[in-house]
Amino acid sequence: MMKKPDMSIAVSIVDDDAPARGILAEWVSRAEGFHCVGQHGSVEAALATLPGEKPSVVLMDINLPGLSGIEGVRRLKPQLPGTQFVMLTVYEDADHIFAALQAGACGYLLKQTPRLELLESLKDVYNGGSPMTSNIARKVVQAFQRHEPAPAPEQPGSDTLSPREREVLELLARGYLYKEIVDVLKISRPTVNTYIRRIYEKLHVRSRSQAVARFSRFSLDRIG
Amino acid sequence: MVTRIFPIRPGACLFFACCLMLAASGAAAEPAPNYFFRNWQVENGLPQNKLCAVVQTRDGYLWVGTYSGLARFDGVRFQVFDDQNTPELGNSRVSCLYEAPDGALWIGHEDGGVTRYQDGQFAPVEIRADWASQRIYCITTDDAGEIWVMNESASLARVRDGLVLTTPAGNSRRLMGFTRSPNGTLWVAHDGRLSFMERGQIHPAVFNLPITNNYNYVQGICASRDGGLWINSNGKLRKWQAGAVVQDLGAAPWGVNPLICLKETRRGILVAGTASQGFYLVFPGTNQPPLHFNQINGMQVDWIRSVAEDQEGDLWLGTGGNGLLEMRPSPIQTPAPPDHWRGRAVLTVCPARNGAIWAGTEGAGLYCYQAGGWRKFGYTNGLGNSYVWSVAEDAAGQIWAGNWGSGLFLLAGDRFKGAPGPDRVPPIVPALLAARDGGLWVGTADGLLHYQAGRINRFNTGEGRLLRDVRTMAEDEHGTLWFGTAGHGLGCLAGGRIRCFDRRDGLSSEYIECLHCDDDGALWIGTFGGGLCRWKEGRMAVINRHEGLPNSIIGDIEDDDRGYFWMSSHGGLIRAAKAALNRCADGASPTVACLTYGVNDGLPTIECAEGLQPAGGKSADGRLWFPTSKGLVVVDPNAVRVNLQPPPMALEEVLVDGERVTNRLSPLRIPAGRSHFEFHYTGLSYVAPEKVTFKYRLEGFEQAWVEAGAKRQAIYSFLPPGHYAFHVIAANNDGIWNEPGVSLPFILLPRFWQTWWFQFSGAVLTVLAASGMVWFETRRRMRHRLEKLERQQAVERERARIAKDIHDDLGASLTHITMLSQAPPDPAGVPAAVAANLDRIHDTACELTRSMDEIVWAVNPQHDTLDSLAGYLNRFANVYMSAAGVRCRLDFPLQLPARPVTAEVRHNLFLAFKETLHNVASHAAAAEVCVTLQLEADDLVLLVTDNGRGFDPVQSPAGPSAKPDRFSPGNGLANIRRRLLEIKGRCEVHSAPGRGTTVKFTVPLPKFSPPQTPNAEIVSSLLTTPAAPAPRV
Repeated sequence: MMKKPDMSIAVSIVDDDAPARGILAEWVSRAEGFHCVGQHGSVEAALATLPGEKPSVVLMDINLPGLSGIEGVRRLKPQLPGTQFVMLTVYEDADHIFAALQAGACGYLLKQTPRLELLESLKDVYNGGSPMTSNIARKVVQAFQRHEPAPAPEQPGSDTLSPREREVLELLARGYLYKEIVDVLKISRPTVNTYIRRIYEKLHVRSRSQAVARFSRFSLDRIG
Repeated sequence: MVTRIFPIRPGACLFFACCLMLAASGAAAEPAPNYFFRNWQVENGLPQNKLCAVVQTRDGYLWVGTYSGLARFDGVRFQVFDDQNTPELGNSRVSCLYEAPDGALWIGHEDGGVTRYQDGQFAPVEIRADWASQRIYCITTDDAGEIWVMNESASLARVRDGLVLTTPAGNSRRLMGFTRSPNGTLWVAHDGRLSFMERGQIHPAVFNLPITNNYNYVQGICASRDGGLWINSNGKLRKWQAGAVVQDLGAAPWGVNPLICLKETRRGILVAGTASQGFYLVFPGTNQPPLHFNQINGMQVDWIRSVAEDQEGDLWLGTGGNGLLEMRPSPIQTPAPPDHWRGRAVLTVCPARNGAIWAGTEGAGLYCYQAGGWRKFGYTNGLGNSYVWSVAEDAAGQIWAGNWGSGLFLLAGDRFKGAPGPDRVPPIVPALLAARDGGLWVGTADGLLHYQAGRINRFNTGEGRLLRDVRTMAEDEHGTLWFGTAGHGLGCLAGGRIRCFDRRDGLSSEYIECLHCDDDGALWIGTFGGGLCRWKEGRMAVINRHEGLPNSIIGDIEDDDRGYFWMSSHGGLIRAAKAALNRCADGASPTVACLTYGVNDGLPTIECAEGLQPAGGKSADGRLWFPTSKGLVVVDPNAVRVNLQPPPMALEEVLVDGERVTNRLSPLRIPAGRSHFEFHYTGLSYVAPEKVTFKYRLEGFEQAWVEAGAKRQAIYSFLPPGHYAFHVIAANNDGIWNEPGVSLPFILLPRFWQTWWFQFSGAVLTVLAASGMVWFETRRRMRHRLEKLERQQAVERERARIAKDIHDDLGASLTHITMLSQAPPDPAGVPAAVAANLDRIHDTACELTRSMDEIVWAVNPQHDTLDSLAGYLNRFANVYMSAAGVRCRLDFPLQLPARPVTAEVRHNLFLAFKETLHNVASHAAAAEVCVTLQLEADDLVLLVTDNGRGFDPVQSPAGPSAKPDRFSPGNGLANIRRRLLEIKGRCEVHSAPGRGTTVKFTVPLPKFSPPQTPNAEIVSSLLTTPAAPAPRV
């Protein structure tokens, strides 16, 4: 937990929907403990200025014209490793959400989420929380079980789940809520969060290394 | 099959054996030679019945010149060459033929033209002589090897330079004669005056002839083989040599008639042909009187135009109007009484020791032939009837005749009388045999009996069986009597005991025809249908058709004392060497060689008499007599000439696919693709052309020789390409083979598609074509699938567009509403009513967003997968139940097969699921709900189980008392069922009060669908042009 509790959370918003962006910015700005450091109408625009804003949390619309929000996360996350990316979406499109998570996001919020709930979630994310639905959990398990050629891991275990992580994930996939997991596994809520955060990281590493693997394989193909 | 061999039609060919019993006048003379004649006429293929010239070339062919063309004869077939089919011949009217020492055939024509035939080619010969172009009389070679042509005016022209020499003429107009001495001296009789040519000079021949009358002219001349010259002049026939008469035959039988031709045969016999008196045979140096053949004595020929002797010694006469006549000595004669047996069959014959020949007939009585005269005995001569079945001479020389129906008769003086004695002989007497004890063995229908001096000893039973139908008997030197029956096998009477033999003893047939006891102790048995059997040293051996016997019905066996058996059969007379028969019977050789004499050898028929005894006999002079259904036959074994001349052979024609091969290059190269081969060959033996047999073999195709019999063609079809050699060999009538035969090597070229390179490239092409077709078919199917896919994709694109439109336009606006409708952060400044309204707007907008989410999810084709369905249900259940405060447990397979689930199925199943969860949340009062998704075979099964209070499914939906709010027909369950029905699924509800509720949805999934992605790849590859390079990324 690297965040100082007394510090206000810097939020940057990327959304092509100007009214929605404005409302969100207003909400964030008005809320105690938050301040909005930037608003961007597109990923292209965000790429230029967002890193300089050094936001703690970025609200990123998934469905953007031009470069998508997923691509935005993929490009910005390496520059802002400490920043949490939260996806915004109108619909719960599991495939897109999962792709965003793989790209480096650590959660998502529906756009129609009530204001207080939204702010709460942002705070939670900022504090190391990691929202994950059973549906996403199921996809994550699938991703880790998929028999893809594993690239030579730079750090052993960096992209494989520990048994405990797997346990948490499977319970999530079976519909257990966080509090139920806490009860079943006899662990604290922050630990659950940690596990899930780690899972997200591994998913990200995994997807990145797979991308590297794909790239290198592709290079070889071209040479050959 | 096209046969090029003309069959000799029966009746079209005249056969007649001429038996000239001229010896009657001089009994002391050696028997007159017997000649067999055979005649070929237009009906047999001759171009004309008036023949001008006959000659045999050294290759074996017989050539016949007529005014209707030239004919080549091989004994069976005439090949006619005339100016129609052979323009090189120049003129069809052939007047003379000559074979030059080099083998070329020279052909003289009526118009003075000359043609030369060599190596299968005719070519005209230009005679550059200053002479009258008259009919060519003859062509010859002089002592210097020059070819000369002589015309009708007896002028000689040298072919080489056209030098013409004229011979002095006599007074007898048109009396021509020509002969050539072996030394090359040419003799010409010109109008009766003789001159000769030596070394290119004509000399008058001066003979110191005693002038007997004014007829001082030469009738005919003939060079003798010994260098002398036969001259017939002034009615005399003399041989001159070195200016002196060396042999004087006195008056010629033809008197002062001019001779058309005179020829000395290799045996020294002179053949003289006349224009109106037929022809004569003169036998110089013997006391054999001349023979004369003309129409008066049955020859039907008076005009002889040409005589030739073939390599086998047969004489060929070209006649003026009666075609070609072959004349050859024959061992067979057919003596016949003047009444010609009254047309009846001769059944039995018995040559008596006094020289008389007794012959019994079926209905014409008994004939006796003695000293050239015939006597006949019938009813009027004391015989019971005219059906004489057996005749025998006993030890005392008495003649006995067995009758059909009236018993046994004895000749007494010139009449027959019934057999004397007290005992009566049965009326049917099929067999008689003179017994060694002086008596008679008589075969009857009721068994065997011994007759002596009126006493009869009967043998009616043997081995306990009745003896029946005895047809033949033979007594060996030990006095054992063998007898054969018709249908009851063989019997043996020795020491008063009878032993019987039948099939079980090895007899090939139980119908015994004849018996012959040989000197070596063997008993030869002729059977009806079973051929020949030999009983020797307790062992029975059979010789039948399989062993080479030409016929299986043997009527009589006679030993000619020269080592041969002569057997009468239903296939003519068979001659076989006893040694060969014994070897075959001993098992030392599998077959026996037999010679057959038939109608072409002078037999009147090939059906010899059988079934009665005696059915043949040997006269004191060694001649063998056999009865046949068309008269009596006598064979002189001493006159049998074995034809030792292997038949010359020729491969006349090769037809390939019906076309004659004219190419003479060796080896013959047959173009590719020909499949049908016919080889027409011939064997040139004229003694019995029908008995010339062939064997052929196609080397490169078969190993063994094919026994072709008398067939003169071989046919092969569908030969594969390759190197071949056709070989054919022939045997003459006496089985003498021309071992080298003739051969024709040839090469059947392969078709281009039969060559290795073609077959190789053909295989490659086939593979390519097959793969091409597979490619094409795949492409076609792909195209088809692509079209379908495109239609599907069009629909999907439309769905995606709708989903996007809803999402982008409606979704954004709704989001704004949900956001704006939220209670402001500072609620103090907002009236309570407004705040409440805002909350309702917000809730409605959220609800609307969720509905749209569901619609978009259902519409978007991106979610047409099982996995997406599972994920959606999962999330919904999780969120919904969580909101409802009910524990939710999800049991979904992690990996789901990639199977498409249509929007309709997804939508309906989701709504049914939602309804069910709603029911659980609203009515079940459950603490936990468990959602399980699984695949059972091809069904998707979704189970929603709660631990709520449950209900009674029987009572609840039926009774009005049931709670109207839970699974009642008008409520949720009906909707759920209808939705499931729409997607061909079903819904089951299991519940009991207090025990929760389980709702089970079962939805069939489409059978199988290949993964979309590879398809898309194929499709895209198809869409790009084949030559386009793969896009680089």
